[in-house]
Amino acid sequence: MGFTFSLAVNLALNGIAIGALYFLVAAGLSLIFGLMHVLNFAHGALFTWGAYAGLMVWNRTGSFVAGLVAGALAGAGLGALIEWGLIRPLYKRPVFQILLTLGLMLVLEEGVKAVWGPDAQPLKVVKGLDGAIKVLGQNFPAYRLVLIGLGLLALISVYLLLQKTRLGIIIRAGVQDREVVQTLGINVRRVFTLVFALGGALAGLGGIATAPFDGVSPGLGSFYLLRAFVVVVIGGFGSYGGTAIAALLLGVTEQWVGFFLPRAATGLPAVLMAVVLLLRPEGLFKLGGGRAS
Amino acid sequence: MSALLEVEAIHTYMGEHHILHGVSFAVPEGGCTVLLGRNGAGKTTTLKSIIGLLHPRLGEVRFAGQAVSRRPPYAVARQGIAYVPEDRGVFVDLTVEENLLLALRPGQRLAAKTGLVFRLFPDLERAMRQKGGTLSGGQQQMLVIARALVTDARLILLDEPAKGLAPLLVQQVGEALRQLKAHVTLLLVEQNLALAQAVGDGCTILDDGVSVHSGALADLMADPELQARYLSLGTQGVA
Repeated sequence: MGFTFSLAVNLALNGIAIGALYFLVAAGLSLIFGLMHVLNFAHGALFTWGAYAGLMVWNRTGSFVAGLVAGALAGAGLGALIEWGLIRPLYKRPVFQILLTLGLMLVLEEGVKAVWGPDAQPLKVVKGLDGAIKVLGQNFPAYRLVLIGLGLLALISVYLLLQKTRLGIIIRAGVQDREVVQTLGINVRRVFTLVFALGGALAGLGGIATAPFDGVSPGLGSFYLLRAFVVVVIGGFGSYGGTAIAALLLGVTEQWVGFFLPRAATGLPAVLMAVVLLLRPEGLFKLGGGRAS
Repeated sequence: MSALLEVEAIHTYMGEHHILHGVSFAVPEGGCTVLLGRNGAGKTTTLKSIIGLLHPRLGEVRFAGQAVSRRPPYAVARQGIAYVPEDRGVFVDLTVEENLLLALRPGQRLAAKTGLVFRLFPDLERAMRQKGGTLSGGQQQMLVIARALVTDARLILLDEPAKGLAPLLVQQVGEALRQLKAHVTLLLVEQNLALAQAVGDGCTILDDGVSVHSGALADLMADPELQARYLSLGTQGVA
């Protein structure tokens, strides 16, 4: 097939829609690592649980919006529970954390199979959003525009939270230096649970948002977690804006490479990450050089 | 007069390393006490043991009569101790205003506190919307001191606030500290004897993790033999 304007628009919009999903997973991963220095391998499982919990509520109530809310709540609840019950005793033992979250990833994934069965759930369309909308004169699946909108909404909401609230200032300061935050009379640990819940909510929302786009299966979270790690490394750990831009970059590049060099697409995330690590190991958007500790 | 801060025979470890082997001194309310000693004598460890970033295994730190040495840093800070770390601790991605906002307790308003801050550090008033990382080294130091002031602390711990600054800025920091001590008690770790002399009233000398001398700073300055024994003059000043 030759290269046409219509194709370019489609690839770009697809890439942005997928990038929005990557962003929803990566944002929490990045914030959790930035503030708590916890590499949360179980984060992808929150995505899967959000997807299944959201789907269940959507099926029961018939409302996609209720499903979105349920997905986000499931992710938030699970994230808070993991921090409060499991990670908290291990803040001083990073190796244990990695073992724990890796194990948790497997347990949660098996848990999904135990509760909902091992099979993929069929793609489910949202009523009224299963058609196409004209973008720049080209037909484009309406739901993918919804995905883009959802990603944008999450991006802006969390941005405002980080920029305009006291909680946000504490999070941003804590990403740079938790010790100094503590010496200002702030019990930074109380913020930790909230950040896990927030990250979980974004992942859970991403999970259920995938259902009408890609379908839902127990291994879904691992697929997105892998790409979210790449996004976080490219964007710079703890950098919120960097995460957003890197998510779009990966989503769009994957679409283009996937079209022109389909056999290279699978390896693309690893290649992108390797290039960034070689040229700018601190990520594209490192926070301005603060204290290292 | 009973002391505002009493450090009683503390022993502090970093991991398995025994850093402080019995440090004792008192800081009276008002004025500036200087903590002196060679590199590695344990001055920074002493400050961290007071603010709660490190917890002494033995001994006690008492602030305003209350034991604080087993408490986390945020609890110690709420008792009224502020800490200006050696590498400044400006939040570089936060604006100057946000840096100051962090120091407020919930429900307090920044506007109620900026009067004194801006009088002492006029540069900050113009830079409120600027990111902390865009300030010069001297301005960053002023910001961290201002932030300590905004916490309403009764005691501010300062770890070599003039380290790495140009001589003119060292003078400015000294001037700021002189004005500051009229409002709040200072405990200053300083290698630069000239700055210490310009600001300090009392002093304690640490040597190899032990407090070896406490007294008036003026007496130390008049005693070259004591200085030679505990403060290797060759390495003083800007590190």
